[in-house]
Order: sequence, then structure tokens, then C-alpha cells
Amino acid sequence: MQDSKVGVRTENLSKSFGSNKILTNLNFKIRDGEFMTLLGPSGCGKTTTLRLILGSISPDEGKIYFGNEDVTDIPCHRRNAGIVYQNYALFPHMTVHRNIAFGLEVRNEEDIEMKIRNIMEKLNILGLEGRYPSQLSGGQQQRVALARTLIVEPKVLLLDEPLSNVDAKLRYELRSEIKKLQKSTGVTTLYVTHDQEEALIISDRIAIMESGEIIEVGSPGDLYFNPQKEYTRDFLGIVEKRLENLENFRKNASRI
Amino acid sequence: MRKRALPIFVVLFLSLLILLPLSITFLLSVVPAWSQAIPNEFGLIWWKEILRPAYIKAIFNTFIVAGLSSIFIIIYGIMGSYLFSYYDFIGKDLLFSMILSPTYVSCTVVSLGLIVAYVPLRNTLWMMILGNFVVVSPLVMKYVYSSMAQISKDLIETSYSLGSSKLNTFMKIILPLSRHGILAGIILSIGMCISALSIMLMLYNANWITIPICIYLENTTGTLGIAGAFSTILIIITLITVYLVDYMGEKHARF
Amino acid sequence: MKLELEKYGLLSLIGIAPLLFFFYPIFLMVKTSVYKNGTFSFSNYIKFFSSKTFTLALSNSFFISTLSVIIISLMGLIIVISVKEHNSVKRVVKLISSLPMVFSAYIFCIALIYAYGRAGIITYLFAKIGIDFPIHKFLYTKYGIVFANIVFYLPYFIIPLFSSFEEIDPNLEEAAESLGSRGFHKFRKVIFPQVLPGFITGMLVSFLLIFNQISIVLAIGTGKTYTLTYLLFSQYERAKIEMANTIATVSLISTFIVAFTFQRILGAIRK
Repeated sequence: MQDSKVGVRTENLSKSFGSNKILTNLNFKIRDGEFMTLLGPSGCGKTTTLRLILGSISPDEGKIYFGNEDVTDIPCHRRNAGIVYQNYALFPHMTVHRNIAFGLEVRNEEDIEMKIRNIMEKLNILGLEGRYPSQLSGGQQQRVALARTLIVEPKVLLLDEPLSNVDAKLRYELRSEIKKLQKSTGVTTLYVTHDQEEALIISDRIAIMESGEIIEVGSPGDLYFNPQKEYTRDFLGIVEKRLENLENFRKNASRI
Repeated sequence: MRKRALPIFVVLFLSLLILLPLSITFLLSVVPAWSQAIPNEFGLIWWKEILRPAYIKAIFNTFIVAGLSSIFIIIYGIMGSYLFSYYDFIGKDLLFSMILSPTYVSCTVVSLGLIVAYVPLRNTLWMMILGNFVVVSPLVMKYVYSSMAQISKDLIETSYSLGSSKLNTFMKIILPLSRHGILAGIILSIGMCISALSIMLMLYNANWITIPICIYLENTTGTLGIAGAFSTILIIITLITVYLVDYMGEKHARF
Repeated sequence: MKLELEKYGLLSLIGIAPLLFFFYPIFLMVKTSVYKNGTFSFSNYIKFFSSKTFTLALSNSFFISTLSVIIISLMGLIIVISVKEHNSVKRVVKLISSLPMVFSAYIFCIALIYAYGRAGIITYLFAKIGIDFPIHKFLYTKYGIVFANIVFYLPYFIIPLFSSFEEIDPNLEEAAESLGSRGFHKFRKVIFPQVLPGFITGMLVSFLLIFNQISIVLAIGTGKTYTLTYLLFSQYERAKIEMANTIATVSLISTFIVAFTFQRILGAIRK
């Protein structure tokens, strides 16, 4: 039943789109039950990596492992990797209840009603069963998306910048909820974002990515205080740089 | 004042040009004998004539031919739209152009081609269905495709990730979300097949005479009242078709 | 790499229909027209071009189509420009003009005859007040066919043209005005160039639709005016299949030449 605690490993993953080489010999590992963040600027290949793990695209070369199982040739709908998108991707023609039930119905599982009630309780969305996605707020939609994905107990949970579309206050709330959920379910999670602050706060480990390569991997503390690579220092240190620039600006402005 | 005058003039002009002839068609059906410019006698004699078995059969034929043709047309349209929305392959653009080609060619040329190529099918019901298919399916496919291609790929990916197979995703997600385009396609197909004349001219079978053929034949033999009555029926059917297709377009904007 | 078998299945099914039911018949028609008694020969085409009736039909088709398209594009442009600012009127105009699109051309033309023909209602009403409403004079000639074409195909031109105008960036107009351009100058230099591709495409579409059309000729032509399509039909009715094939091929080649020319013009404009 609880076969969902599986680590993820990629081996020499390469992917090109036409003449664009996005990933070359990507090797990285997510520990079993860990919250790993893939952090990097737009276009660095993090979404491509996510899609390769999801199974919606196939690598040109290389392999992907869920635990000890080689899933490279297993199609998306049999891989059991769950995904939550920036725009929630809730089925607009189905109610909240049917959205959440979708994955279970495909698997012909029993006790669907009880499972739905449990997950909705966990995510604080009880009472919204009969509503349609267009009738929900952004935060509620995100929670429904999470419920839909978690209820089928995926082997890996993939999150593609899920909080980019959410306003600042809600973002803090949802961020801690996602973290708590992950801790309680223990599902191996890959979180993709370009927001350095978010990555530092929420992750167990962070993989810094740029131009299709992993620059460095480490815990938030290690990477921030003890970066091994120049790029990491620059990329994460931006928060400090912003403060520095603001100070200089104020100094110059007051001189006028 | 002057600014509003021009648009109003345009509307009046168009009304005279277009609406007037349409209303006259209706008049044709309620005039027993149109012998002078403005008829002074009215009567429902032609509408009673229509109730004769031969004409009732024509009405049935029309719906049967249109229905059968539309079944093939819409299945083809859905399959083609699915192929173009979710798969890439060499020659994709070429295939799309090939499918749209019949719209650039005369119905008579299409008919002649079918007659010459499929001699044993000459003047059969299946030839009529084939003719409808060639001429109408490109337009219907455009409608259905534009509706299906709009579905966000994220939704499809989510469905797969939750374990749904391609077939299940097609039935539970893709079809429901493109149902307005599909319905519009069905209605359009039926509407066009019902009023098709130029394609039927060379292909029709004497046992399967449809309303437009009837109108043509009655017109050439001089019984204009029947032509008028049938024309009115056709006009009403097409008006309903337009309204429904438009309505579907509005609803689709919601999703 | 994953083999998407169902893709190839679908591809074959979808691809086979146009091949079997459209391209193969055309190929057969063209082939039959250049083979006489088992040998390659242009005799059918010689017969075509030496016959006065046939060549007249060809020139009629081109004449009618060209004249109709010229008038339609000018009228269409004027109508769209005068109405595009007034939204409520625009909706009514769009609605009325959509009507011919869905009606059978044949019915429509019979109605035209009953309205504007020699014994038509409008003609009669105008005669009563002493005016000779001129339409009936040419309704039964090729100009009558042009008239019917204009009424019937105007919407096919107007409706896409409305869209073209709606797609213009309003900022461009404002920028032009701020630089001192207005009225006809603004129209010629700023607005019209933007709708030109849509305008030309509309002309091409209308031309092809009119050229390939038969119902209108059937209804109004009174059997005296021949166009290419009507000629094909009448040859078929007289069981002259070989000539019918020849006519079909000539029609196809004409369509192709016209489409090709328009695409070249469009390409040249886009630069």
C-alpha cells in the first residue's frame, strides 16, 4: 500500500528540441521522501526535466529511475508521477468532487468517498464538493489540485512553479501548507521555481540549474553560507545585492 | 445627424437587396397562381399539395441522406481534429491542405470526378453520401479542430499523470471539452447536407430525391408553388441551423 | 522512443479519404481527357478551344467572376468602413449579410427574379409610380448573374473584412493622428495597408466561390448564358463524358492559375 516512498534518479539525461540542446548528460538524484527544489532562471531546462520525470516527453538519451525501477520507457499514464501546475489545470467541466475522484475512478478503487473526504479535510476544502473550478478562488483551486494529485498516492510529486500565480499573502500560507503536507505524506517531491527566497525557505535540498546543467546541489544553509560555485553565490546572494543597491540608491538620492 | 445617416442607409440597402427576396419566396408558396406582378389571391393549396406521399417521401429522404452523410462527416471530423491537435508528423501541413482542397473546386467537378472514378456507385444513395462527404467534411473539420485545439495541454497531461489512458482521456476530457465545436459541426453538417443542390445535381438517385432537387425539378417544370413551399421550409431550417451554430459559439466562449 | 501506433492508424484513415475521393477522381478525369483511343492526345482540348460555345463559356466564367469580385470588394470596403464605428448597426449588418451564406443560392435567385424580374414585385411597384426599375433589363443576361453574385457573395467578403479591421492596433491610428495624419491620408497610408492582406484574401475566396458556382447560373441563366460549370453540367446531361472531363480539367487549371497569382500578389505585398 505505502509504496509511495521512492527516490528519483536521472542518469545521463539528454534532450533537444530541434536544434536546441536543452539538457546534456543530466545526472541528479532526489532522496527518498525528500523535498528537492530545482532552482534556476527561465529557460534553464528545469521544466523540461520535470516533464521528463513526469513522462510526457521522452529523453533522447539517458534513463530515469523511480527507486530501483527503470521507468524511462514506461508511458506517462502508468508511471504514477503526480503533477501540480501554475495554472492548476483543474478540469473545468467537472465539479471539485469529480476532479478529485478522477484518478481513483480510473484505477477502479474502493472507498472513493471516504478517501475524498479525508484528503479534503486534510487540505481544508470540505464543503466545496459541488462547485466548479471557475467558482473557486486561486487558493482554493490550488488546494483542489493538490488534493487531486495526492489522493492517488503518487510515487513522485512534481510541482511546476505552483505559487507563481498566487498573491503574496496567500503564497506564504500555501507554501507552509505544501511543506506540511509533504512532511506528513512523505512523498518524494520535486519543486520547480525561479524564486530564490522560496527555494531557500521550503526545501530540504536545492539543485541550482543553469543552461541545462546542475551547477550545485545542497541544503539551503550550505548553499547560502558556503557556496562551492561562483554562480551559486551570485544567484543566491541576489537578496543581499538588492539590499546593497537600495542603500546606494538612497545615499545618492539624498545627495541631490 | 450626418454620421448616422450613412450606416442606416447601408442597412436599408442591404435589407432591400437581401431580405426582400427571401420574403418573396414565402409569398410564392401562398399564391395559387402567380399570374400578375402583385398577386391578389392567396391560398394554402400548395401547402396541401406538399402533404402528398411523394413529397413527404422527399422530406424523409432529405433527412436520411443528410443524417447518414453527417455521421460519416462528424466521425471523420473528430478523428482528424484529434490527429492534428495531439500528434506531430511529417507532412502535417500538407495533409491539412489536402483535406481542405475540395473547397477550392466546383461541386460539379467533384461530382464528375466521383462519377468517373466509381462507376458502379453511379446514381446510388452511397454516391450521394460520398458527394456530401467530400464537399462538407473540410468545413466541419475546421470547426471541430478549432474547438479541440483550444483545450489546454496541461489538462491532458494532468489526466495522463493521474493514470488515465489515452482512450479514457479522449472520452472523459477531450470530447466533453470540445462538445460545443462538435455539436456545431453536426448541426452545420446536417444544415449543409439538407440544402445541398449543386452537389446533388449530378449525383442524385430518382428514389432518393431530396428537397433541393425537388425545388429544382418543380421550378423547371413550372410548378412554382411547390418550389416556393419547399423553399420556405428550407429557409426556416437554415435559419434554425444558423441560430444554433451561433448559440454554440457563444457557449463555447465560456470555457 | 515510444511507438505511437495509433498515430499511424489514424493518419492512414484520415489521409486516405482525400486521396481516394478527391485526388484520385481528379487524376482520372485529367487522364481521360488526354487519352483518346488509348493514345495520348490533345484532341479534346483542340475541340474545346475551337468551339465558340465552349470558349465563350470560359471567358464568361472569367468575366463574370472578375466583374463580380471588383464590385464586391469596392462595395464591401465602403460598407465596412461606414459601419465599423457604430457597433449596434454593425451587428445588424453582420446578421443580415450572413443570411445569403446559409441559403441555397438557387432559392435565392428564384426570389430575386420574383422581386426584380420583368414581372417582379419591385419592378411592378416602381412602374406604378412611373419609374422603370432597371434591374429587370439585365437580370437575364450575364450581368444579371453578376448582380446575383454580388448580392449572394457580398457577405463572404464583408465578414472577414470586419475581422481584419477589428485586428488593427488602435494605438497605430492614434499615433498617426498625433503626427498630423487624418481622413483619407490616414486611411491610405496607415489603415488600409494593414487590412490589405485580408482584403486580397477575401477577393481570392470570393473569386473562387463565384467561378466554381453553378446554382445561380442555373436559376438565372435561363439556359442561354453559359459558364464553365454550367457547360460541364450540360455536357454531362448529354452523356458527353469526355468533353465533361476536359471542361473539368480546364476549370481546375484556371482555378489553380488564379489562386497561384493571388498568392504571389500576397507574398509581394507582405514584403
